[in-house]
Amino acid sequence: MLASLAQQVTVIHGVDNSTASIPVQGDKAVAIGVNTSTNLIYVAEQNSQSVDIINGATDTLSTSIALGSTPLAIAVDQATNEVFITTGSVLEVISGQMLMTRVSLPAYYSEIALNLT
Amino acid sequence: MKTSRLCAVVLTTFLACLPLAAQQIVDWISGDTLPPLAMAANPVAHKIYVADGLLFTGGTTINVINEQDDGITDVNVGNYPIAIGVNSATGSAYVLNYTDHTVTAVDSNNQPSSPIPVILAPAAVGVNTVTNKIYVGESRAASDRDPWR
Repeated sequence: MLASLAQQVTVIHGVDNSTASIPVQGDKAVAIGVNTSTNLIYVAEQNSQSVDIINGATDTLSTSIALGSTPLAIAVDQATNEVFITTGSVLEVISGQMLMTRVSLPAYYSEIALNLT
Repeated sequence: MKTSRLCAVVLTTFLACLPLAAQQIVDWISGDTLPPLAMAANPVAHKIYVADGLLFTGGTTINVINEQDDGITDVNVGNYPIAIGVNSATGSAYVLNYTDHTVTAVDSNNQPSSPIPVILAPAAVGVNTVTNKIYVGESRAASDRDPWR
């Protein structure tokens, strides 16, 4: 029971505060990024060391991407359709729904922010 | 001899620090000086949302700071507000009440909604400002025992 409860994301509809559950594969969400252009929602999951990508049009799981280590923070660049995830010593770069690049970081980074201008 | 001198230095230092420590503990208990658990900004409405930290338990309020006049409004939310998501298109903020397993929606007039039940221990939030949907993630591992239920 708890296992299934933990592996889901709740979506709140802002218009009336009604809710729905979205089953996901990952376990223990730490951060969520949204690309409003593509309507994709990126959920960084710690226990499963993965990113669940939710299709916001249907509010269903689109795909799940395995990372090499535990994600800590997430940032979305809508202009380039890239998603940046830090796992501390590694920066993972997702393009759309594909893991593209894995960059080693020179130190341990637990937060991430983008300069979009 | 050396040891006793060292002890004296330690004791003196400890005693000297006591008033400061006592004040800090008082401040902690009153919830004024602990680091806030979460912050979020609405750049359109020029508001900052700060979730109160409180020792061990988290707070039950958030402070809404109006950037234009630096006025602060306290808004009652649920227990242990751990994350805040803002929809700058609607002016609403969504406060994740970690130990209550609920979300409080705070509207543009700083009025809180009744608690919205969500999954266990919510701690991650993402807002789609275009579709006006708020996504709330579960922070506890599936294998964890939930002490609050």
